Amino acid sequence: MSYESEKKEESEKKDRELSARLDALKSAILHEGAEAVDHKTADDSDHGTGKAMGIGMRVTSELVANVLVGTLLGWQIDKWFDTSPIFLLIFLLLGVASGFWNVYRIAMRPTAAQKKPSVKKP
Amino acid sequence: MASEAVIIDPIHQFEIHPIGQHLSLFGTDISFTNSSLFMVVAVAVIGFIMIFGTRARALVPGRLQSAAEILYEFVSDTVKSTTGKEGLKFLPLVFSLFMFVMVCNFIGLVPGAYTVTSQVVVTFAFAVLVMTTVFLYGVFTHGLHFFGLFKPSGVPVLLLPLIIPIEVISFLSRPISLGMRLFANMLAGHIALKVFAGFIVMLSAAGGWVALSPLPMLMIVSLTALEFLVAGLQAFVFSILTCIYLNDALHPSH
Repeated sequence: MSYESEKKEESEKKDRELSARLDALKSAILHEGAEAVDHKTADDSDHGTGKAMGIGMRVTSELVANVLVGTLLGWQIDKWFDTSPIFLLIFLLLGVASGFWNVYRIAMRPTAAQKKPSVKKP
Repeated sequence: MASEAVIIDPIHQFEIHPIGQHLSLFGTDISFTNSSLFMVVAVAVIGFIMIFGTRARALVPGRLQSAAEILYEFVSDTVKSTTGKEGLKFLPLVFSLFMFVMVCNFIGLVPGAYTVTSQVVVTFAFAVLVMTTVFLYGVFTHGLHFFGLFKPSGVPVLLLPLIIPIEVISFLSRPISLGMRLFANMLAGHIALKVFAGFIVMLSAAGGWVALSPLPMLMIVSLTALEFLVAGLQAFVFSILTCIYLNDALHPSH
């Protein structure tokens, strides 16, 4: 009888130990999880800065490249037709316009994405 | 003081010179240059990361394997989110471009190494490759419908003579802005580093002013950090813009 009770006690002790370990593990996982979530939000904010910088660089180069391409096109057309500087001026203005148009489109994209997809882009 | 003429040439680092002898094929110079050498190094680095990283195929990835997996998943997520599922057939192109540009940018930051992407020829070749792919794919799959790209829907007919040249210019400017941005960022960053390094040399040549030399040194340290950010960011911007342009070829209706 005493042997039986001893055994029972031992198994109970094991159970308690096991559940304590389980609890410790659970809390550790929760802790880790919270940390992971923190990491994730930090990463997201980093990503946001990177994204913003990327958009800024895109806007700059877009503006410059459009003006450049417009000017070169107008210059070449003038050279072909010997009409300097009419087409140069026209295409320079068109280049500036398309540069701003593209910048506008880049700037409008985030808000357009948030709306319903059925809304047409301007 | 003038006895020691310190020549600081921040452009010198971008000089291309052949390694070994000059080779030419049909009158074109095809010598193996320092630029080619660092392209080979970049390809070797990419090959090392991808081949040895994926060799183990462990369920719990090691360092190299998780680096390879993160890079792959990052690019594939970018492609999927900008072009949709059907854009995944361009993943090899986008992934190769992203890896090559990024590794070249990072290798360029090693002192003494050559920055391949600081040459406008290289970046412009990438941009033309991307735009040629977009154009050919768009024309072959959508035919004349692809040119609807130049005519936004919902624009009054009266404005079309104005809008179409603008759209054509903005399409033509894409390879230029794509190539120029990468080249200009790398060139400017490396020149800025060299110029600030030159300040230290000048200050140390100017006797007592050498006490001020930690200031440009601080600037170099922070610029180097910025350059690391720019190196990764430019590769990312290059690949995401490639995806956006490919999206136009896949879904040309505005």
